[in-house]
Amino acid sequence: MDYEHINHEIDSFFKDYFKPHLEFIESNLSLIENHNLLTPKINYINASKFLSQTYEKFKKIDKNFAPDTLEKLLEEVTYIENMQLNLKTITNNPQDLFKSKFMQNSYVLRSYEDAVKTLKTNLNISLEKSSAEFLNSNEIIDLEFKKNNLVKLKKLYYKEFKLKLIHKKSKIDTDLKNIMNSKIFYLDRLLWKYSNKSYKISCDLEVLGLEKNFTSHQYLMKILDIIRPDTEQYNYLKKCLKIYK
Amino acid sequence: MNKFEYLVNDVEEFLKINEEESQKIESKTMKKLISVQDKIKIFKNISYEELKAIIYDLKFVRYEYKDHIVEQDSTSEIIYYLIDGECQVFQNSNKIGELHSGSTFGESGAIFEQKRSATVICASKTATLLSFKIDKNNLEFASNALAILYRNLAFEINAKLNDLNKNISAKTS
Repeated sequence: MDYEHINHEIDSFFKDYFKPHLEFIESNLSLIENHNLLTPKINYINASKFLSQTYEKFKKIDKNFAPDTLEKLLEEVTYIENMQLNLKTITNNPQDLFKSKFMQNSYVLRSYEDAVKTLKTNLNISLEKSSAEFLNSNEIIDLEFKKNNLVKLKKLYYKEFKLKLIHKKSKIDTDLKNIMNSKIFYLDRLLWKYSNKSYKISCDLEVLGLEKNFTSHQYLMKILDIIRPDTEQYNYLKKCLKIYK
Repeated sequence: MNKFEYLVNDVEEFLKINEEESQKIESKTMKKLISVQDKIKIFKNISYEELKAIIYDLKFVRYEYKDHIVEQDSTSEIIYYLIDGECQVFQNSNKIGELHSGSTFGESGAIFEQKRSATVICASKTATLLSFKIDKNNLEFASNALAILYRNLAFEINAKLNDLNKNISAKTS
């Protein structure tokens, strides 16, 4: 059995298994590439909850303050978060995945297993027909040989399968994070761009003591001044502040 | 059609943001950092974009003669870079060293989260320092820059250890 064939079978399986993830990543990476969208070095991912809460709050003040783009971005961020959770679940148990899904799909492993099964059946028939001493010893040797080979083959497949699974998972995870970071960055900028344009939101923020050209940084500083320190929310917002240096 | 397909007007919104970002005026502190970044050894080989991603609470601070910059046994994650001026280092009230412009200090406390091992006092009429903290959590998008920064800091710590060894050798011989 050559490695090329094993690799090919495993690669095809993963291509199919991660199809929704890979298609989503591909379409988003082309969007980023085709329009030169920004993929910041700063990690905005932590701010996702803060931005979505702020958006909801502002929407209550001025229902139509932002274009649909903002809503789409928010929905997509949630979608990516769910996709990450799903990725974690479906890659959590490599052995189970190998046994329950991959082995059913592998032509080589199935053929080998079928061959062993057939040999076993034939041998059982021979056993019923004749006494043990007249058994064809070649059949027993052949069965043992094939059984051993199947075990070795499964081990070989599993070793490659596990390595590729870890690599694939990590690559998808990194791509999803990069895409999500870019989305949250635009979400942040658009949120404040349109909050600044909204008369109602501006009035509300000015009452809070903020000056025009509102930003996440300015808003977070004010909120942290107001809310009770050492609470979960306070610590979370403090972490967010690090993003907006 | 993809559930999240962005229409022309959505993409236009993104492109406007790109334009605004490129025209964005950096804060005074960031501008100052750009002007001195090349001279600061610990920021060597790190791009400005990456630097912005891995440091926070960046401040340019001026101290006056006898001002205490760092107190022994205190805890803080701040790293200092002495831009101009002189400082003296004391351990249990004994002077153990001097710091000149271009020196970095506070890195051990920041990296190893230890108590400050010495007190640093401004020894010139004034001293200008750049102070900052490292955002250790930005491993996702700036791991390379963080690795370079830690390597640069390791070089600084190593240079200090070499100086210390030389001083000990000189005293014992």
